[in-house]
Amino acid sequence: MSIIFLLFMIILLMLSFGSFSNKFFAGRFMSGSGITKVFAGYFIILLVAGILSLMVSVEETFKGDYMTDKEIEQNDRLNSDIYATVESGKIDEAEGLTKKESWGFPLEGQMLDVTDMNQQSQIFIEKVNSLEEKVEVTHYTTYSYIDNMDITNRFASPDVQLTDSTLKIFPQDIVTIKLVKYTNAFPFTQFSEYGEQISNGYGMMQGMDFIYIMVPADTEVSGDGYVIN
Amino acid sequence: MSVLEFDSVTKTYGEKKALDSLTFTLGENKITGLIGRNGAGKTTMLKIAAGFMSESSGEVRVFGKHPFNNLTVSANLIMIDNDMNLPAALSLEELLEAAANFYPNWDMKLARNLFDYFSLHPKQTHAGLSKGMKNTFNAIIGLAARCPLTIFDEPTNGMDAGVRKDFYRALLKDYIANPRTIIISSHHLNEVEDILEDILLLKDGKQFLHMPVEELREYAVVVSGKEEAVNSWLRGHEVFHKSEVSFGRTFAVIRNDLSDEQIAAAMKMSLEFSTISNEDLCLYLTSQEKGGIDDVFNKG
Amino acid sequence: MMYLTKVSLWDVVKKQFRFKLKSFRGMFTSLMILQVMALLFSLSGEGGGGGGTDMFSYDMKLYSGNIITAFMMIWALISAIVVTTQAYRFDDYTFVANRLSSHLANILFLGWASIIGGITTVLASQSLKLSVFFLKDREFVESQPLTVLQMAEGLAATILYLFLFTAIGYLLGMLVQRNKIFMVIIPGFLFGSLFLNVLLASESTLVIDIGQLFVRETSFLLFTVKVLLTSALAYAISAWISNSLEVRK
Repeated sequence: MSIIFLLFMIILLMLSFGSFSNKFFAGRFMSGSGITKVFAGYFIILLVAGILSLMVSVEETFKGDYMTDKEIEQNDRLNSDIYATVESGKIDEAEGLTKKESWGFPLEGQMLDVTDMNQQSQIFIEKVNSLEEKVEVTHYTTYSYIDNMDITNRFASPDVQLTDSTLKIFPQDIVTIKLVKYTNAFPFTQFSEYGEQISNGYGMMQGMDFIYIMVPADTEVSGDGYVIN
Repeated sequence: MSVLEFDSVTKTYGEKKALDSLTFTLGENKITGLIGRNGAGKTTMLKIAAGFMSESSGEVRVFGKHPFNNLTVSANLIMIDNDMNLPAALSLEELLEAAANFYPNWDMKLARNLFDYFSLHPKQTHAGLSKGMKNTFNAIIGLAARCPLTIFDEPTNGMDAGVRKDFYRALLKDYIANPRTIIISSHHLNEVEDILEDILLLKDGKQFLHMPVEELREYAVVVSGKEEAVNSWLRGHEVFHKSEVSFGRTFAVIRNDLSDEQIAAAMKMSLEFSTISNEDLCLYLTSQEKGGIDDVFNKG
Repeated sequence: MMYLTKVSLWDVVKKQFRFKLKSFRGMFTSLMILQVMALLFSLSGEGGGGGGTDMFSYDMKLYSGNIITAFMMIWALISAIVVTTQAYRFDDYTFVANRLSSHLANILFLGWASIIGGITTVLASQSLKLSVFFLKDREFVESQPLTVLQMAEGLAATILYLFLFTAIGYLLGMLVQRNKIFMVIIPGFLFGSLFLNVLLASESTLVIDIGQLFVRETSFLLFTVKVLLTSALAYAISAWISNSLEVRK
């Protein structure tokens, strides 16, 4: 493949420079005075396209923050022990978590059955004294990214419903992201500002989802989920 | 001040000496014909003068300066030859404009008039011209540039007879109106003879003759007669050329410095004197050996 | 006393530069052809990636201005080599010139060509971005939105890269003009170096090391200094080795 490409390149070069060095290739149609006009036309087309590209791209591009390599490394480090932190009930101390959505349901009786229809999330249940006749459900995630782009907010929280004493956690919608990415040529990326490197070399990372359920201390919990205390 | 000065200039290509201690001086505002056979070093000499090449040894002065890499020389000198490089990207008209931009004395009116006269087309390209037309166009540039030193190396190659005549006429007229130093090298001395003032004859990279054309006409004389008579009379004379004609008759070209007695002696031996054209004379002067092409066949 | 025209070097250089603007305009034909070709190549994308989990899938196509830029670098290199060939070198001496003025006019012209080349390269890359932008059913991502300063730096860097390549091409061309043996040595050296790099899978060969000197430079100022110094050196060497080259042989 690469050899064909190379040959093609050589032929291309010969053709394009043949018109330049037309002392050796007869014919002047490519270097006569007309070429100046053709080139001017080409330049104008490029200029219009260039200006258009500057005008359009500002608004309708992919929305998402960029994480620097440093931030991603840090996030990866936090991810590795976040599970243990949450499992031990210290969710307030866990770093790198994003609180996405929370729900509150009135709880009648002292039974709660948790049904997980969502394979993605980790469910934790904590019994707390501060709640009475009430269930609080919170959805946390860690960062998700593709090539340094933060896509955490692309993932919607699952639907959570409480009917009678059954708390149902529904599956999340399937997220499909189709992207087209344009990278500026290397002379543009060579001098990055502030010395922050964005290497795009981190591939994809989908964050962990935690459904954290807090129930009154005297509730009997059954079904899915890990009860912390 | 001399315009062009060569002082024992030698140019070697490998083993071969193209110029061999060539020494001469060209004065101001003269038309000089540079004559010599192929390989005599004409073009080499002109290219050194124009600063295109550098000499191997000796000293070259153009306007009192060494021409190689000299801008003043380049600005005041133009050399027109058969393989003049003109960019293919430019049309003839653009080429004229480019030349006008370079040469301060450029006469655009003359250039355009000649251009029209020789039926050149402004949109044509130099590469698309026939050999004769190319040289016509080059010659126009050479004339219109009005450089203090103008060099034409074989300017009329490929031109048809009418155009040659026109060109030389134009050259002469323009020269009279705007005197300058012009060097023309040519194989055809006959054609240019009328407009030349001086003649510089090169042979084997050396100066052979450098004199006004008028003197050249008086320089040699032809003597002819029966072979034995010619041979015996020729003893002691400087013979430039000798060959047999036919029926035992021989003719010889000799230096025209005869005394009255010598002429009388010749008359007695019924030898005849005649003149020789400059072109033929130059041919004989520069031939490699006494004899000529006939000898090749006679030697069998 | 005859009247001799006095000329200044700079005056002649300016005239030659104007002359070259016309006589070298074929160079811009090759620029256009190569750029359009590069754009077409670029439109097929530079690859991409995808992946996902049970509840998440993503698919990405990558485009970049790298191909266009690389093509233009080749263009700059070869154009400069073509400028040093006899036919083009001798054009100068038809009219008023000496070797120095010829070099200076060539450098000016190649600088000018680099500027035009740089601007069109950036514009062509932006055109690529624009056409990618209109790809249906895909979200557009600009890997790194540029500030105005970065934009200006990138443009200047592109121009500087092209100028560097013209300087290298000019030097290589002059070496070949000086001695035809370089016609064998230079490609041998270049391809040899690249083959070694591929075959031995070694990261470091001379050609690449030299390249890294420029590509790895993150300070724009230092980069500019490096490019200008290298180019000046290459042009100076070219001028020096060709000072005794004869014309219209």
